[in-house]
Amino acid sequence: MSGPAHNKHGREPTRGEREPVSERRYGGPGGCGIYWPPGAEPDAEERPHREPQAPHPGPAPQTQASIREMGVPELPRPRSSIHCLTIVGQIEGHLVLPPQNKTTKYEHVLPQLVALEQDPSVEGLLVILNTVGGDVEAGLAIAEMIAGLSKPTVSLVLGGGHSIGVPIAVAADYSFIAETASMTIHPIRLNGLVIGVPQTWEYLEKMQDRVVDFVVRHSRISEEAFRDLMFRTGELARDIGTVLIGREAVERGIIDEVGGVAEAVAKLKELMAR
Amino acid sequence: MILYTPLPLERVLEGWDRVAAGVEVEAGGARLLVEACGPGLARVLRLLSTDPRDYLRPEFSPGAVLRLGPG
Repeated sequence: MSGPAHNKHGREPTRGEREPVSERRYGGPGGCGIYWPPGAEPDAEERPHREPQAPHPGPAPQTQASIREMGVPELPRPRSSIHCLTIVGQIEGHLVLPPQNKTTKYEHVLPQLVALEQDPSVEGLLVILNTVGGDVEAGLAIAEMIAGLSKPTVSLVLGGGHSIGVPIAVAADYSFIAETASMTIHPIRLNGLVIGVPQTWEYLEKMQDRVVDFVVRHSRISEEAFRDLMFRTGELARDIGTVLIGREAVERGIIDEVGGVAEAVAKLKELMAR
Repeated sequence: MILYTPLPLERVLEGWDRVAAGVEVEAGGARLLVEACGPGLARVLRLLSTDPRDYLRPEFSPGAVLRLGPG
């Protein structure tokens, strides 16, 4: 965007010399007038009236703009053939969680996975987890999307991959866990109004089966072994279940290997090469 | 909704009445749900687009701050 002014004067344009405001606005007349920093606007390359920029000394205009607008230079960004999806905090479900939660928003992650699937320049997906779990439906939706991708996927559990994080971790083609990372395996619980009738138990059992079946289908653990971990007493202070740390998750057959980011990226490249 | 997490429910749902409502705006060729977060600034709550490529744009990710232009 700052091309023409640069060419004319051969120096950084002052505020008054930049393009008229209307040039930098999107949304047209009556739009909300969102301002995009020069160079950072969408489709900057594709705009037809953009003039070729003359070579000039100093950093590229985009870097100058980045320093001016953000206070940091923009790093050169070579396109990566792998994408990295981070699953952090609470996996937000059908309720918007209060602002003190860090959330993974499924309504954004699901279309991202669609984009990764259809974009030919993306060859693999690395899923990084540090999550305390969250909504069962949203977690299973993300897990199913990852499992359904035709491109190679590798997951890496760092810190924690608890509760509904377990199905997401095993959804990838190959899973890693850091030596110190932990996974809590425990029964799901019902929130809100619980009616004391047998159907409540049957419903809970059905919801539990959705999680257990997914984990069993996508990892080496048997259903009996997984349920045994889930209903174990004496390990968790406020709940029944088990905490698996690093190597234990591999020994139980939930995660494939103990490793860090180097192993995860190497494995993904190996799967991509096939 | 079934919350499946080792965190106590009261911690997760604390402050549920402070959840932002947001307004819809059009920016960069896509519709966004944003909340005002300062003079001339808007924080993205949600991207409303059917183009999957829009979801890979960092400026549209939830939590990103957009600067509103003059007018």
